[in-house]
Amino acid sequence: MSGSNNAQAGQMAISFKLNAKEYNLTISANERLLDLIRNRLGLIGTKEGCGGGECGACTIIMNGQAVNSCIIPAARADGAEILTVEGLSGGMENELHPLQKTFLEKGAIQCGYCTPGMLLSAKALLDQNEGKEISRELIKEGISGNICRCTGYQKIVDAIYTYARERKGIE
Amino acid sequence: MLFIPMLGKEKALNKGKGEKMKFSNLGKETPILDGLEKVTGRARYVPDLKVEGMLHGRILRSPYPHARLKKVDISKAERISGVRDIITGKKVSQHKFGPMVPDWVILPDDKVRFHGDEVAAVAATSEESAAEALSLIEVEYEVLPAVFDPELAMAEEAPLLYEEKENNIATTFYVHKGDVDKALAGSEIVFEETYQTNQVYQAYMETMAAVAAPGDYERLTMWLSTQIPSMSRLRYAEALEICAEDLRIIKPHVGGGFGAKFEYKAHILAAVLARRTGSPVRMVNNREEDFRAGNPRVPMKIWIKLGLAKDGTLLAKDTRIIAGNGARTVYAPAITSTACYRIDSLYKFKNVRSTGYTVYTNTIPTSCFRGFGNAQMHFAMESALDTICHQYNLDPIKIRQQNGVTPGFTSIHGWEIKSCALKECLDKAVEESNWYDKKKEPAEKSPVKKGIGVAICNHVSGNRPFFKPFDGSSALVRLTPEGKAIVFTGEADIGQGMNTAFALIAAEAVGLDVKNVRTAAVDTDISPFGLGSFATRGTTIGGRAVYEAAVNLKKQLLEHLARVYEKKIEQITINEGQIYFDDQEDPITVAKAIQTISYTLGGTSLVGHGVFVPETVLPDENKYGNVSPAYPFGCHIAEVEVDTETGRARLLNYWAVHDVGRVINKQTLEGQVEGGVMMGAGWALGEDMVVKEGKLLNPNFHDYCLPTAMDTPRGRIYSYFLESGDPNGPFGAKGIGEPSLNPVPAAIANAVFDAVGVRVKNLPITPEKILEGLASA
Amino acid sequence: MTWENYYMPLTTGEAIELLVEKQGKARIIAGGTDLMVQHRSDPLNVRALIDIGRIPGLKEIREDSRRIYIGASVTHSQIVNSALLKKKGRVLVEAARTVGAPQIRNVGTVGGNVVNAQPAADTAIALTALDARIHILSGDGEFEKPVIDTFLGPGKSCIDPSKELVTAFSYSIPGPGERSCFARLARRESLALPIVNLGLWLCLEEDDHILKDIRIAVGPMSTVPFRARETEALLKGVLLDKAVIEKAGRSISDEVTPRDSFRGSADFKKQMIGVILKRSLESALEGKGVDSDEREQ
Ligand SMILES: Cc1cc2nc3c(=O)[nH]c(=O)nc-3n(C[C@H](O)[C@H](O)[C@H](O)COP(=O)(O)OP(=O)(O)OC[C@H]3O[C@@H](n4cnc5c(N)ncnc54)[C@H](O)[C@@H]3O)c2cc1C
Repeated sequence: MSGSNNAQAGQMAISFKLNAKEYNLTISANERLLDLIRNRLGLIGTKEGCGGGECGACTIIMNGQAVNSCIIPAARADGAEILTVEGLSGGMENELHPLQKTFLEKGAIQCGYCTPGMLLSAKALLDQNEGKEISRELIKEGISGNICRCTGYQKIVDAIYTYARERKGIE
Repeated sequence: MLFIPMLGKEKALNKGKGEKMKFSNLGKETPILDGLEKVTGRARYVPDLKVEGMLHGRILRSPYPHARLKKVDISKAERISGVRDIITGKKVSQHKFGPMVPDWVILPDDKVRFHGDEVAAVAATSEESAAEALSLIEVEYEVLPAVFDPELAMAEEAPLLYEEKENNIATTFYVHKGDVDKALAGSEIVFEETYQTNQVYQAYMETMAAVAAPGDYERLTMWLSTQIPSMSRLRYAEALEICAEDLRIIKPHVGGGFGAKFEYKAHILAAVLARRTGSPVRMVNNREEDFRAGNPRVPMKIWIKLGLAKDGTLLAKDTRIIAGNGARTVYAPAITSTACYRIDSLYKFKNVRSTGYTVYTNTIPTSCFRGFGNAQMHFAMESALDTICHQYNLDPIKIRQQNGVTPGFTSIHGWEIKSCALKECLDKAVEESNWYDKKKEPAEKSPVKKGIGVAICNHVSGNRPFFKPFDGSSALVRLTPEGKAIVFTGEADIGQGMNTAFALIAAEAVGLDVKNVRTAAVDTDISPFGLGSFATRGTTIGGRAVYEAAVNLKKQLLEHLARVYEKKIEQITINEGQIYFDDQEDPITVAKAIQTISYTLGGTSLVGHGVFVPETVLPDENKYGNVSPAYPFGCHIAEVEVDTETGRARLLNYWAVHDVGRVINKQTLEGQVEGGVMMGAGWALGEDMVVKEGKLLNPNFHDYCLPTAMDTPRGRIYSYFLESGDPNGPFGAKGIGEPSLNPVPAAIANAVFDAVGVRVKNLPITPEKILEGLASA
Repeated sequence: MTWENYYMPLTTGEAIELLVEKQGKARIIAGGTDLMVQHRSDPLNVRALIDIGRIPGLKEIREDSRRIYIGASVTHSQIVNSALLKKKGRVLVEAARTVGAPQIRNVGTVGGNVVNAQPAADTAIALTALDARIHILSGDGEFEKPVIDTFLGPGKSCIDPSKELVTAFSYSIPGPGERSCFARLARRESLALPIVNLGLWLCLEEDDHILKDIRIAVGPMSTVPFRARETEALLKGVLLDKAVIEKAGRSISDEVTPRDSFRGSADFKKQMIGVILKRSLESALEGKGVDSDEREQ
């Protein structure tokens, strides 16, 4: 059994990999994953927009899938592999993931609050469709759990579509 | 030729006198300059800030729409460990203040007036302690009769929110020009209808937030998620009864505002708690309280009567508006007056009359939301025109071209339309959308029908009456010894990309590469005073101040170059970061030159200072004036499909053409238009704050249905920009933020009518209303 | 206070042991997309949560010679992407695809959807249309029953997640002539609970359009996911043509008893359920939504 409890009531030890780094931490059994990421690890790129899984601002990739970290117990991170926006570029300070680059170039960002979550939903979608052609409809579906109030989504869809095609070598 | 459609590439522009001008920075697709920190997640917003020793603030909100506070007992709550302070109405000053009407207090000690009204506030060392303390505050309420509908609130027997406000009327606006009754009597076509616009939520992704921290010299620093850093400093000083100089406001990145982020109670409560405890206090709304106690759109009931000649010439407009103010006044009165008369400067009216009541109800205080009342009236006016065209067989495009304002026109209220490509906007939209061909297409055989609708818009780029002392802006542009320019402005980028526009303007005016220019975050200790982000004024007024500062900087730079390099000023040209001397083959870089110059000046930077106070005219008693230095225009065409069995309407394609004066940054212009269109579409087709007995039933993103990516048009939003070159805007630029939304609900309503013959007069256009219309057809 | 322990057992045996040991003071959590959200407004009064997401057997979709089995902690995304279900459980795939948004589908499970017992829970409606059975494990042993029998009222299930563990759902492998599909209406295209939804399963006589059998499950038309048995009876043994389809639409509108709610008035829901039944029958008639191996993938 994993994630069993420590001596201190309510506390538990977990270990996980986040942005390619190993962590061993003691957490509260009732903590949210979002709070672990933001408050404990200080990774403020993951935002809280609603707290109820309804806006996607807190989206991270956990074991290859986009999830809302605001409604996931931190305990479940035990043994997991997690990616937040800070790890998207592969940990290189001055490098960007191609998705970050296209978002930037195509104007897919305005206020920026939804951007980290949006990027991670986009990445999960592309990873899951590796080698396949991706339509705009599929992209819209893939980011349909991420609310953006500024852009009207068009430039975001364009950016993801552009990168998806570049990746496949389609011009 | 006055305007040239911009297609994104560098364009040679006719500057009137036949002299060609080529821009090296403007008119392109420039990614926002603060995009890097946003894509990497490094951008800090108020909720991301951590200040040593920071306490967590929470607000206890009323569960009743109207109640007397008989007792607020905090004794149990105070005992929770970690609780540092709890304030109630009894513990704070009861002086009144407010942005428009002094009906605010820090916390009330007599009664609460809406479900969500502030009762008490807690500061504790953790969020958990603060939450626990909140749950232990015991309040004895005496529930009072409440009123929710503005029209009912005006009735004699309605309960009063404020004893001194008869019939719950907060403010009344009245304007009459010409002779409306006579003009109506002489009109061949007289049309009368009532429209209703609902209460909707701005839904910025970052909720309202503040961190307030006591600082040196007994000053208070506040990091705010705000559109008005400089103005809120004045208002909060008034609220806190301190000197404005003792307040320092810093605006980091802001996660959207759309009009909501003006003066806000929670900010003030954070400040009070910080001053009392001597510790920094963080106050961040959770989404539910942001819904319940934010500043949503002013709902309006609009009665409109129009008189026209048989040929479609508009002769008279008569309107009466009842607007919901909510339980205390934010900016609703100004919004109501805008709804009453701004649209009068879209058409060449000669006789107009309008009365607007802003009425208190026991509901959420309402305020600014992109469009500022003009959007509400656009829905009424542009829907009405469409119906008139249908009933009298007039062409909806031609009627707008025939009556729309033209360059050089002075409107009935004295508004001077200097630049205007309204007619060209209509032409372009018609052409791009294939309007006339689509109009001719036969109706679909399937239950899903297509339709197309048009609406035009005007707006302002600045609003003289908004802040009584002045409307204008100032800016500094500093050229550092490293050859980088930093723009200092008090105008607030809240995600629209204004800071990038400012950098482009400064770069263009000085002759720098925009890569070496940035705009500093607003910090009232350093930045010049700026009124802030509203009235679509940023690029035009703020941008013009930046332009003036950049011109001033360039002048200084040229003088120093002449001195240090022993040239005449006429011998020097600066372009894209290079300095050319006419007697020298190779240019030198600005960076190198400025370094040399700065060594002769004790290492200083060169600072250009710019001021722009446009020659606007504050409206007089008869509302005659000229409120804005420039007026933007636009034309929207919506194509929809409507399922006649389910009643659902969906966007197929959308064409938005705007007269923006000059394209500063094509990418952010498109971004504003695409965002504005979807925001308008959300409003038109479903967004609605459902309130029952004063209680909001859908205070979350699951039940308050904002458009998702899957709700965007099946096709595309096409945007086009026409350049009418306004004499006041920087390089001729006018604003885009609000015009991008103003015509959307009407364009969609008109398209729905075209598709299925159902006219929905009260927003939103729900399946139920469409089915009802179909059933009664 | 909230839970102090969070367990992630690796077998169903361990999970049951924990439930027994905690004597009703522990609660099963699968994806948590319902539980964590409910906890925000109405804190859970439990000492421990037992996360069943690490029990491999509960995450399987498989078939034997007669039935298809879907583990209780199979996520909506797993269903959407299941090649087996695309062929032999279309209604379920289509239903799962409409749940929330990708982030919710990646986490939310079919077991949670059923135990949460909302009258319009999308996969619960689909399972009801498939006449699925639910497999349950408790300290007292193993048992199974029709899914539909677990629904007691809005949010009320006969399954007690502090004592019982749902392990799987199963239904008969579709035979020749069997088709199924799902339809719903909502206020927007994603992240929206349904105004109405419908799971349809039917079996046509070979080579003609006579309905041998039919099941229609709809929501939110009652306090629980609802089988429209009167309309089913009307259609059974009948040649499915335009006139019959029209009649079926009217019949179901009369049969259901939805409530006025935030998402729509009772009348509107009645009207809409007729429309989507009609459309679903039409598409079944056109050969869409064909289940079983006869359908080309
Ligand atoms: C933003 C959002 C959108 C949503 N949209 C939809 C939608 O469109 N349609 C829809 O139907 N639902 C929707 N939901 C609800 C929810 O996602 C689904 O009901 C989901 O299937 C629940 O599964 P879960 O694994 O997350 O359940 P959990 O939250 O883990 O559990 C739900 C309940 O079931 C019990 N439980 C779970 N598994 C078992 C088991 N194996 N044995 C015994 N008891 C068990 C739990 O104790 C709890 O009582 C939405 C939720 C959110 C937050």
